Amino acid sequence: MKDLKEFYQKYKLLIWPGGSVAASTAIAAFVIFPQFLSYLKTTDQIASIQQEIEVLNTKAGELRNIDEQEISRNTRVVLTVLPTDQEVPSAMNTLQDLVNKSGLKLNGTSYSNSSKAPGDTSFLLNISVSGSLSSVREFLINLQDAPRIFQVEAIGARFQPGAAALEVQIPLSVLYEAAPQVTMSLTNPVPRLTDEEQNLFSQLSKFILTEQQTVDTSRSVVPLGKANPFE
Amino acid sequence: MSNALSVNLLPAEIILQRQHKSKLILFGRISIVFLILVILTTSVLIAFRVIQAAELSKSNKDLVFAQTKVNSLADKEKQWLIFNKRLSSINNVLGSDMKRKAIFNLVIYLIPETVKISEATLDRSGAMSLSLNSVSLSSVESFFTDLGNKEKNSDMIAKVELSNFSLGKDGIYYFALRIIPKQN
Repeated sequence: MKDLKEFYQKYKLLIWPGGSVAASTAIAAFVIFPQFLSYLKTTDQIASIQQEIEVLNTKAGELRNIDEQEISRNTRVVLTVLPTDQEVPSAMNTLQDLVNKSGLKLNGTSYSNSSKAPGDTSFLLNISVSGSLSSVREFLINLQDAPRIFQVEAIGARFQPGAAALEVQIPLSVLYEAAPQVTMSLTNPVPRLTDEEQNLFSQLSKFILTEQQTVDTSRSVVPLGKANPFE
Repeated sequence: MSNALSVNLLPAEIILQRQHKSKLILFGRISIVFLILVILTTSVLIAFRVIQAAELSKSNKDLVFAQTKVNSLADKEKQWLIFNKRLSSINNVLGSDMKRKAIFNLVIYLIPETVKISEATLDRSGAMSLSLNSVSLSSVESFFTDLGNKEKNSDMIAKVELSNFSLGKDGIYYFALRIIPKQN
């Protein structure tokens, strides 16, 4: 103990500064520097979280603005135009309507499943019609307004001697597509329609709406009789 | 008296020793002040870290809340995505046969009334083969001119090939054409 006191008295002017410098260096190296780095890292983390919150709030706002009934109606429209299955009978009905509307006479239709590989998304309807050239032209124009996608593969027209009208063969590819696979992610923004797509959809919904109205007005009204049959 | 003389009678080594000691004392004081400053800095830094931890916790809670909001609208989002994807597919495939239909309609539109079609075929590339006949040579000429006129043919026709042009005993001109569209 006495030795220790003597040692302290002899070297106290060196012990205090040395100890202070050592302590300061240790605190700076093991506390200040790592904490400062953590502070910077956490600041970036908080900024990134805030950004993600902003994206999510914007997305939630956009989704809330979408009318559920309207989107359900719109989805029905696009799935009518490009269905998930072949729906051959409805395609043939539509084609028949278009042929009649154009003033042509439908002589025959043949169906061929043109899909050769999995993933192919069309089948062939080969129609044989007769009529004037202007009616054929009108039919081609009406195809553009059809509530289903028909693609003209070729046209073969022949004017039979002695016959008043042209005989025309038109193979049509009728398109369909499997249900789309959607991958959802929280931070993916809600995709917007381009102007082109907006215009396209307005046209498509007009055709489908017109078709539905035609179906509605063609329904007959069944008389219900007396309101009170006991009078 | 202002001219006082100070005489230091201490030996030189003692004076040196005292000077050295005073330097050490000054250095010691400076180092202690420095240590105090380091401790203060550490305290401030730790206070900032505590505030930051609270901010991080709040941000995480807000994030969970925002994620819950978006998740609650997942069905609507899925429907919208299906609609969007489907419309995009329709946009991509629609009109891929536009050229074929356009060529057919154009040629039919340009054919004069006095020119009759015996046969017309349109293939996948949009090329059209026609067998025609007409009583009037001027109509045939006018038809050829219109087919070659950029304004009249909407710049859609690349080439017109004429074959088998003949005048029958019945006074009717018979000819065959192959019309090749431009590949845009």
